[in-house]
Amino acid sequence: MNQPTRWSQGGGSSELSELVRGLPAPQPLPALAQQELGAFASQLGAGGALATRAALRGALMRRLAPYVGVLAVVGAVAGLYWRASEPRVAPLTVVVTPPQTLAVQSLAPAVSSLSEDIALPSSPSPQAAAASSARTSASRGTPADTLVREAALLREAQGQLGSSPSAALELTRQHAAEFPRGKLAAERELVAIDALLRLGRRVEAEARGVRLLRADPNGFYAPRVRGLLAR
Amino acid sequence: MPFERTSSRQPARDSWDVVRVHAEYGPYLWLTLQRMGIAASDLQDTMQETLIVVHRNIERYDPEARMSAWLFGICRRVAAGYRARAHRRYERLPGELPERSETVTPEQIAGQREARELMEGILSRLDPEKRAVFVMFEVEQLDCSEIAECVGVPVGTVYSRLHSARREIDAAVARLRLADGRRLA
Repeated sequence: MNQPTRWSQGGGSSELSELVRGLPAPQPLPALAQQELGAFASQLGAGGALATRAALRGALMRRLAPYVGVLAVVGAVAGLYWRASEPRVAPLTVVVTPPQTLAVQSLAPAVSSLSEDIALPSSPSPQAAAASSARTSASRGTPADTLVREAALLREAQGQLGSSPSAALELTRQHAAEFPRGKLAAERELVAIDALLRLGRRVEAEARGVRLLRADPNGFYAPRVRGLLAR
Repeated sequence: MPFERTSSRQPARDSWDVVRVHAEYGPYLWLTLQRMGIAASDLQDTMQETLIVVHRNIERYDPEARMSAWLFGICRRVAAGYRARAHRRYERLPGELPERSETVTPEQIAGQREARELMEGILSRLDPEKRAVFVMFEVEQLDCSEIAECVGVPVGTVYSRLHSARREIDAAVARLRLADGRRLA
């Protein structure tokens, strides 16, 4: 079978040939992106859901770096609102740092402390709901992609597991509501199962575990689910 | 060549992990996602998404199959999801085929930029696999045998996809030409 003649070499009309010539060729992987993606792959490959979260947290830091100033302002406004509506609540402390004066690496701790400042308290409360709402609005207002926002929410849920499994479970519900077709649904289910077990709701945990295993019996998380349910 | 692995030997199944896939096939994934229509601004995020899928499914990789073919299939699914999300976000993809309207005159669509946007719009409607084959053949000027090697399918399948892509593009260009009453480029 002979290879067809390319449009640009007379295999099509001159019009098609011109149209094809105007298309840009795919560009090779830049060295910097290769390095960053290599680090991301290494974190993934280091093992399991925790590594996935760590890798995504790195991506979150990178994506949020240009918007730290915006997030800080939103946090400060939320803090002022908080103080006005509930004087007994400790004021929210936020350090506003102009993002354009800092390197990306130095922004990571600033983002971490910011996220700690606006983290949910150990048990759900009206203030927590307000903070959560402010946080959600802030994240929706940034151009950070869905995957990064998903990861941030699940990181928060994971962080609540030890101190307040009910708050962790609530955050997984929030994740399911916000991201019904989320890419990290499996991770969410793992956190939810863990939270349910810690709350002593084994029947519900097993039901969710079985559903996850049925959907993907040989998947990456199957051993982890079995391990959780065997506790 | 569009992409060459550093080693031609097919490694044992248990030696593959996402780090190795990225090290050996990162450039291939990067090119393939572009060929399938991922916008430059979304490439890095889409690469991360692709690596997560690879990481989760690496144990399902059959060492009898070509790694490039397996990855091509993953890219295709990721690209399809990207397109669906882009449709939800923007209602239509950037550069998608504009509807005929009174505000679009032949003069406005004249010129290289407009022609390129039109072509991007036509390509955005193609199946990602067909689009990738078309871009490799017509834009990157790869031979069909090279494309077959890269995609991991027989040369006949490359011909078939290329033929189908060309037919769809030709028809779309003809429709636009009819609507605007002029050549598009």
